[in-house]
Amino acid sequence: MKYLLSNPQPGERVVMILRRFWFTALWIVLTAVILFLLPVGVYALLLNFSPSLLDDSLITPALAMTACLYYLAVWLFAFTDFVDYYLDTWIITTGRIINVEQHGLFRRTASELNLSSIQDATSEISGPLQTFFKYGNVFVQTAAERERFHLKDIPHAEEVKETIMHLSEEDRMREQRGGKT
Amino acid sequence: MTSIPLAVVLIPFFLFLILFFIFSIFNLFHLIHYGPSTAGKFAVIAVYVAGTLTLLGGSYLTLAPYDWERPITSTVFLKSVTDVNLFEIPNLPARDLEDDDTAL
Repeated sequence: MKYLLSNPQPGERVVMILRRFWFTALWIVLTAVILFLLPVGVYALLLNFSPSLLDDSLITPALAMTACLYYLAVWLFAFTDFVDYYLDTWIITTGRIINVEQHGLFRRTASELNLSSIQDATSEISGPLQTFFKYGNVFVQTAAERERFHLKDIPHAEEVKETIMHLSEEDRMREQRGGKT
Repeated sequence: MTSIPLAVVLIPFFLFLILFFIFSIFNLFHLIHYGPSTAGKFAVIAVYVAGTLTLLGGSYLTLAPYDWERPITSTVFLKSVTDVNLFEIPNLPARDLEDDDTAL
């Protein structure tokens, strides 16, 4: 996938574009499917235990309206969750890491850090799902007292961590060489 | 005895619809503006719009047949509530064992 950097530095090239692993989206879809099926179960229960409720000329329309409202709400929240998942992107270039994150509907964060300032990178793969599907979190820490970068649910977390550390070392050496000349 | 049309229960539904449209527009704006220009993005938008139209159409078809002009009076409402017993075990007809082939 091609990605145009908004303010490219001289000689900078994109090494990786990372997005959250597709399994995260699958959870959103599965949750929505389960929530969509829930009223069917409630309807079956009512049909068995209180059929008179479904014949009532006042309660039935109210129940139908509640069901419509419920389905629309589930659809909307599932989509909002999906957009949140879909718009989280991390771009690793030869000089920096760009972090673009969507938090809910009204908050969006875009930040970047220079690879040469990275002190430590940690990959974390926890739980059977992450181990089986080989995805996880990568935390990038700089010397500055700022919040560390958190690359969430990215595929091949360990390889990404190694790549970041390798690029960081290269960037640091490049800066040193540049300083000497 | 006070009486109000059943249509009043639709007021929260319409308020929710307004919120639904506002949130949907924000979501679509974020997706179009910040999402990568790939076929996947347009597929997601198409699925969401199609799903929304299906749900709205389904809601209309579900709610339209009811008589929303029907008045709700306090006595009718109370009567309908007292008739409901969610914890009542239904009286199912006894199975006729002689006709049942599956009986041992």
